[in-house]
Amino acid sequence: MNPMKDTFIHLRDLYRSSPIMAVSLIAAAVAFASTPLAFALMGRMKWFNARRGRTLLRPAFWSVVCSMILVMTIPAFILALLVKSEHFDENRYAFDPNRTISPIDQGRQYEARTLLDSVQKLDEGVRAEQERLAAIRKDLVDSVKKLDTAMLALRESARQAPAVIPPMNEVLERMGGIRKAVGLDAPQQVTNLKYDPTAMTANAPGTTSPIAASPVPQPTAPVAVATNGLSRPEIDAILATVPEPQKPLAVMLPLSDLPPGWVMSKIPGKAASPYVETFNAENLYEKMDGRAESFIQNGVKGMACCSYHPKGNEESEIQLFVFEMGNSLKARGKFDSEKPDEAKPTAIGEGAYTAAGSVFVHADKYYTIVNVAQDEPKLAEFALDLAKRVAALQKSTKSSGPTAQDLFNLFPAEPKRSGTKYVAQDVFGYSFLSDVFIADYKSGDVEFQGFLRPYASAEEAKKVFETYVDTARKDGAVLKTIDDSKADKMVMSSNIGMFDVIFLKGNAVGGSNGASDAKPAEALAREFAKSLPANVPVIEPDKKSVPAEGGADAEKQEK
Amino acid sequence: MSEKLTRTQQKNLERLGGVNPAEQPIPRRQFLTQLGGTAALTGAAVGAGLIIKDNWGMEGVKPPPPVRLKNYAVELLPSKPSLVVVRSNPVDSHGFASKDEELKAREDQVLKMVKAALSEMGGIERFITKGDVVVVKPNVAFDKNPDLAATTQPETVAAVVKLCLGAGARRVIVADNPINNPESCFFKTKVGDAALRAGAEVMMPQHSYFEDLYVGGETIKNTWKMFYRPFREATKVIGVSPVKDHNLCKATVTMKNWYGLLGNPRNQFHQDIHGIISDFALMMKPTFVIADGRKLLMRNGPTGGSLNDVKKADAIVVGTDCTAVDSWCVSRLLEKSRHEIIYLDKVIARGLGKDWRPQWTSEVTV
Amino acid sequence: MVKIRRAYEALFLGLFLFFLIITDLRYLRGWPVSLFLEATPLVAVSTALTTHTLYRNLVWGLVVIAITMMVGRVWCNWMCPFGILHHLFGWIGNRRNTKQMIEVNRYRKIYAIKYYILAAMLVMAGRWIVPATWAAPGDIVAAYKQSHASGVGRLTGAVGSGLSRAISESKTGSSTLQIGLLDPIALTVRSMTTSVLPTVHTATEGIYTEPREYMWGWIVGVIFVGFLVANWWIPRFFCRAICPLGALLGLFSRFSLWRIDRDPVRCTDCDLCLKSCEGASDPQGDLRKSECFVCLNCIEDCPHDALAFRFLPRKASEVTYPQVGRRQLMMAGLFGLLFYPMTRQSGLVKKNFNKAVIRPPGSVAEDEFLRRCIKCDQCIRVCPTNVLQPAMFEAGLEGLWTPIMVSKMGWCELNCTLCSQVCPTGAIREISIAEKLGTGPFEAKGPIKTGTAFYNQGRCLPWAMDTSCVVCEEVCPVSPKAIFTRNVEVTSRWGETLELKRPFIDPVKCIGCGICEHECPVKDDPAVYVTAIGETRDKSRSLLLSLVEDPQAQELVSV
Repeated sequence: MNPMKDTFIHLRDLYRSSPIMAVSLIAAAVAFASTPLAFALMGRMKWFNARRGRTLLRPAFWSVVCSMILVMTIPAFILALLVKSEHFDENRYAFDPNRTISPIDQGRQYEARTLLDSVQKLDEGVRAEQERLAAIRKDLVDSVKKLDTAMLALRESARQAPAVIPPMNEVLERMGGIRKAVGLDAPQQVTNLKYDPTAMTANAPGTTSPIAASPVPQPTAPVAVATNGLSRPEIDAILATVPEPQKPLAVMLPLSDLPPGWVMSKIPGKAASPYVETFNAENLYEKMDGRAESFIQNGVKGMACCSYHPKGNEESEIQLFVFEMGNSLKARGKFDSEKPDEAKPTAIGEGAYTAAGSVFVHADKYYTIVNVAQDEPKLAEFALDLAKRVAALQKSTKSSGPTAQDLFNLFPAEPKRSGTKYVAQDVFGYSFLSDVFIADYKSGDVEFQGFLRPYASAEEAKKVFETYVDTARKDGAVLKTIDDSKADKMVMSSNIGMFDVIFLKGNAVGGSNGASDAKPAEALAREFAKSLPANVPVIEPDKKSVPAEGGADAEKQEK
Repeated sequence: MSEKLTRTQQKNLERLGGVNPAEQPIPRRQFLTQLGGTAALTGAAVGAGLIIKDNWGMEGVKPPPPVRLKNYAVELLPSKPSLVVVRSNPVDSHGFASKDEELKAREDQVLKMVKAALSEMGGIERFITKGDVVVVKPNVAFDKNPDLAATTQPETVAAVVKLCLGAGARRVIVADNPINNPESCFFKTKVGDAALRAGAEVMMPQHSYFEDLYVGGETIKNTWKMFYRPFREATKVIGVSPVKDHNLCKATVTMKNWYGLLGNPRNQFHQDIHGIISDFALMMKPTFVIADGRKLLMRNGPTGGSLNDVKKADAIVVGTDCTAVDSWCVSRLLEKSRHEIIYLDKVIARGLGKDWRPQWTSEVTV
Repeated sequence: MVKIRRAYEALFLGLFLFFLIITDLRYLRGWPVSLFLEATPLVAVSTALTTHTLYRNLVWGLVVIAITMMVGRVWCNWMCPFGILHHLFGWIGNRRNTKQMIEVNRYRKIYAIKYYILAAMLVMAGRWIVPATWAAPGDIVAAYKQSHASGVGRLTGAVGSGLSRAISESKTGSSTLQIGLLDPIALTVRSMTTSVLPTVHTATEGIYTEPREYMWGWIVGVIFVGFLVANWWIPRFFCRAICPLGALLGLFSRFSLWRIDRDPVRCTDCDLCLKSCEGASDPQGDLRKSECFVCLNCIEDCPHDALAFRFLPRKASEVTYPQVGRRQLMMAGLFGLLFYPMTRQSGLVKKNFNKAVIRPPGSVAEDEFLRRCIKCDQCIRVCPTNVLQPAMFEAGLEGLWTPIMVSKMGWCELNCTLCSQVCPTGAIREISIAEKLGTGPFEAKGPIKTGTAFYNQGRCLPWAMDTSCVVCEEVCPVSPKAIFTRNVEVTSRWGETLELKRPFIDPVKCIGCGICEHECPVKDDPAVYVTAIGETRDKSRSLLLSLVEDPQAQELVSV
């Protein structure tokens, strides 16, 4: 195709689409082109001669040229305007939703021109992605519409079964969230209907559905089941709403066969599962007033809880919490850390105590709390009963490795050892010190703590020991090395009137902490270092245990 | 003069001395200056126009680049507590000869308390170094008497200012953007007077003092107009807040105190109060904060208005982390459960602050 | 040459009228219909003063400035459509004989008024210089302190950055643009749009498809006609005495290289050159350079060929500067200085903003808007629905004749951005339909909102009168609809059960287009009405926290 022909075709198309435009274009072009010719001709024919005084004079050459330029500007101007008028954003007048208008199409971007290319490329990618997302969105909207229609039938049948109504309501509620996300109006009749179980049973008395005959979970309506508590179908319905990871926990909760006079408490605002709540590590804080953090530090996996009260007396409530911790050591650690001074030990699970009627049990990797609202014998009895029932289900997977108790047995008994505990993180405020076993001591008026942390290898222990010493030095503590034949190294640090002694022996770091007097601290550390076996059994915080030679020794000592 | 002149024209020529000035060639110098001047000026006008050309109208409406707040926190020694509670028996208002004397005694006591707390944490020198410009942010949101406990106690502000100046601070600026009229607030809460007497400057908000501040958080995803002027030069920031109830977010302590830096329309933030307060933990890293728990507004917060709502206590809490201080105050002073305070959970969940721990706390009695 | 000038006059007046007619959705295409508005240097200069930028096509103003600095005020008699109209009107109404003509075209002192008007208006536009001067020393000192450079570089750098900081800080909220009140092009376009064309339409029915109505448009018309008729009293009264653009060009023409020059020998002092002098520039004596319109009539009229348009004539035979009184100039400047604080007393820009000031989509924030809008009402001309109306004092004295949306008159068409396309100064920033709707690359930013609709339930049929209606829901153009309904069953007056759909507004989705208000059957005081709150152009006027505009989102192209 030669350019001449191209131009011709273009002009012909233009003429066909808008004849006035084409004619004016051509006229302007002709006028522009012919003006110099006309000026040349007319200049020769003395047309421009001007009167000067009484004679006619030829004008200066330059003034003719200027006039010519001025005249030629007129068609040139019109030409330019005509051409400009053909360049415009058609999309502005006929908005096409199928085409995503990029800001570059619109001339919207105002960055440097050099950026244009890369921006264009990026824009291509974005446009493709947007198309994909638009398709997804369309699918989603369609599906939700279909789901709505399908739900209508389901809802009708749900009307017949009271047990299905609460979870059904929950489902309907959740559908609202989906609709909001995809921007779809709700069919009025779906969300407007809220069911009250009692009202529904009253509304549908004549239904013959077998499910409708099952008892309504109201304390005032003890229908068919002889034992107290929830019926099997109810429990199944509740368990169905529990997330899979928390199911084993929820199963442990005693929901049926309660002693006479006791009923389950309803949780307000939970339609789907009115008696049982479960949580995982992320949302535990919703239930535990600020204590969630401490559970998370001990690797909490999940929690299930429910509560009971004597019939007609909702004040004296008993709350049951079952926690699944990271491992049995962590469970033990959490159990220890919450033990109050007035705890009375009890023999349930692997360790338990009661305090003011409440029962605290740890068994395997579970930690169970039964909280009573009032310290009354009747409540305490039931709490103990509950704790036993739960603990019975928490079968310890006993392994051959050392237990925490084995390690606590390594601590010297004197001077006056009282509590023992396991601390998972930030021991004594040191971020590098974790998973430490601690026992409380008292010598005269001086109260302090002994601690022990066995490591997998001697090198690791040595490193921690050095970090400890360095940190103490940085904090401005006065350091004194103590010669002790039993320990590899022993250092006393004193700061702000507090004396810590830390020693390294084999794979373990131990010592005493927080004594206000140097003597007992040193004595304890010496005693401790002496009694400690060369190789202390290790309980890896994450693995269940690592068999160590010293384990046998420890067990022997225990006997 | 090629053509023939008329008589009048000849007379004209004679009058002009036989020379037609219009036909005289112009001096070269004038020619050059006029031509050059016009060319230069035309070029300058067009050039200047092209330089400021704005193709899409965006340059003109582009907001100025947002400012960011510095991190004003200082590193503490690991062995030192990051939260100190100072207790001291309240000054008995009886047995003083005059009101001034009582005030003096109270001021001395607060000064002692704050000093004790700071020395527990490593001394004021740890926080304020010579030449620092310190911004003290009290909460003077309402024009109420300080005894109503809706605002920061003036003695505490004065004590902080004195300590800062004593440690060598070059300037201490006391600034807040109250809800009620600023002059009235600083006057009636007595904070303005106390600050001035202690040697600080009081900076009240003006329209031009607000700038777009980048936050990049959860509720303020990008920027918001903030009372930024006092922070322009600041090297240290201290928050001094009351401990009080709040109807919406349940407690106003040190974290909510930073709300006073927001510019309008800040009333919209009540649509997401917990989100905005948790954003403050991201926005502001103060040098330290003081929660003044000597008078507590237990209910009808945040305004109060009756002495019946006020409970006298004896504690001042000083800490480096607003989260820990708030947590301690709500559970120990306001008698609320820690879980009620949703913004604290949010802050902790976002990893912007740490809850209070006993091992990082120390209690002192003066 | 006079013939060429007449050709130009015809061309530019014709072009102006042509552009005026095609400023219509049906014909607009790519025609640069705002060309004349963009070419007035007064708009370029004054918006550059208020906004510190030059919006797009305002560079045409620079071209006119350049031409003026070469050959004088050719704009006034060759290009300016208002000037040409005056020329035409003066010619039509001319009943004077030659002698009277000569007398009426002599220079008068009142012709200096235009310089005082210009001075006052430019001082209003440049008032930010005052606060900037106050702030500059402090900012320079601050910049000096922050700078890390040394020596002279530090000082100059500090002065530069300090100055620019002071200027940019005092840019907002300290100046106003009032030039449009008297700028000839803005005045003509405004008069044509709001009074002449609607009047012509009622006579011919040939301009619009549906008649346009503009409240208070007649005031604009009366002023326009008044200026035209004034030509019969003093020819070119507006151009000689009032026009601030003429004054500005008069200042620039001081540099012009060419001008009319009188040959003192050939001149016989017959004063015939005054017969048709347009500018009253005294060509019979020393030429007043700043007043001359370069109409070249005097050259033609001179019987002795004593006048010529010459390159660099003698300095001695011209009056280079306009003759103005220093005292009057200072008074005018003082008025300009005080005008801004006086008008802002109303508080209409910030605290007391008027709910009726609903600006067209794409408008910049109100303060910036008032610094950009020249009240040319080109947006009102192009608006296809008649919703845009010239304001009286809704937006304050400053906002006289600026565009506002009055939903009773029309509605903002969803897929239409014409007003943003024709705005010559960027008061309505050019937006694409994608940006207006918040689709495609603007998805994250959301749609442009001009206000929010509210219900007056006391007047709404389904709310107050037990009558089904919801026309508003039907016409709501956004998807999903911003107006949704809730089904309610009410008992009618006669005891029957009625099902009604009651409408509600979703403030997240509502864009304030006003079609609901326009279509509401309660015509006189619609039951659903739009107010300015929630407009996206100003962060401080948003209604919902979730919709606060993200300023950086606009900068991103689409990534």
